[in-house]
Amino acid sequence: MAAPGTKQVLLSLIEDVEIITKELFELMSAKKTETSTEPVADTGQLMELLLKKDAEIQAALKTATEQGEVQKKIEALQVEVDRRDADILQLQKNLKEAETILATAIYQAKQKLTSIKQANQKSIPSEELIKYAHKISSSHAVAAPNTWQPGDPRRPYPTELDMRMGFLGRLNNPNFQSQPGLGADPQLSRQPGQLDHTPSHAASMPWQPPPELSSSISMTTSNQAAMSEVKGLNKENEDVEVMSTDSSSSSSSDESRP
Amino acid sequence: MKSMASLSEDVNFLPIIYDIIKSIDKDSHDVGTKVNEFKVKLQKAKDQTEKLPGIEYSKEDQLKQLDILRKQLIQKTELLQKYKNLCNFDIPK
Repeated sequence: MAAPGTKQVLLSLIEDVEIITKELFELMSAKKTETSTEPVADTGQLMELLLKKDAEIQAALKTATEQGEVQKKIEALQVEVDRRDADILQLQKNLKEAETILATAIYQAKQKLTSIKQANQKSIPSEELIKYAHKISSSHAVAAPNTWQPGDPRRPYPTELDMRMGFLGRLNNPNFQSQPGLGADPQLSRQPGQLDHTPSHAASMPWQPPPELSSSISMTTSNQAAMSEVKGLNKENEDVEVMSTDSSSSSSSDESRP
Repeated sequence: MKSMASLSEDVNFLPIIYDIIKSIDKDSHDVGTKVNEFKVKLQKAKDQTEKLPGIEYSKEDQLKQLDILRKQLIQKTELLQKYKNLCNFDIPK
């Protein structure tokens, strides 16, 4: 059981003094009215008790004074502890914020590392890229030449060879068709010969020019007049569809159109 | 400390008790008045005691509390120092 507080002790002592003095005053008043000698002893005992209580009160007061000093130290310490608590909380908050930022940065860095790893695994030499770019550029596979005119043998669209090397051209490859997912698509796995009979799908098979267009191209070199006639009949319709596979090619065809 | 000095004065009961005893011995008429003054002094002493700071606990308990607070302050200061000197972050894998 915890010891009683100094306040409790002091209040209790004051109560004791009150009771003892009350008793003492009553006894002394009674002694005055009666002539008995018996109460005198009681009065002496009460006075001794009163002196004892007074000494106890003085001791408790001394303790209370010391406790007052200690209380000041406690209050100062409490203020310091509260300040430290606030500092720790602020620091923890900052650390948590930093952790969140770092975690995000690490996640992004890991993603970039994965991309770099993938790029390293499927590396393409830059020379090869430049070579290919030069090739398709020199053959006017992506755009018509600036000076292109009707009858110009340079074609402002990919050559047949270019198309065969491309994604659509490789659909004919049996190995390519056997790949899961790609071969299952009926649109993608359709043979070029089948599409030739469906004019609505002519745009999806640009590397297989219709017989009329092929003949017109071959005639271009030999007979200029015949070419313009064929062009008037077929090329305007067919070429637009063929060139519509590439946005740059279609724009160049618009430019080249008189 | 002003309240402590005031309390010391208020709990000094012996002079007034002696005065009252003398008045009783002399059959003085002012006994009642002095007894009332004594009661007022007692009440004042009680009130002052209630207001006194830091005496809710015994001295031993108060010293224990002081010790606990000192230890807390040391721990918290060390923790702060540890946080401030933190230079390594554990990178989650």
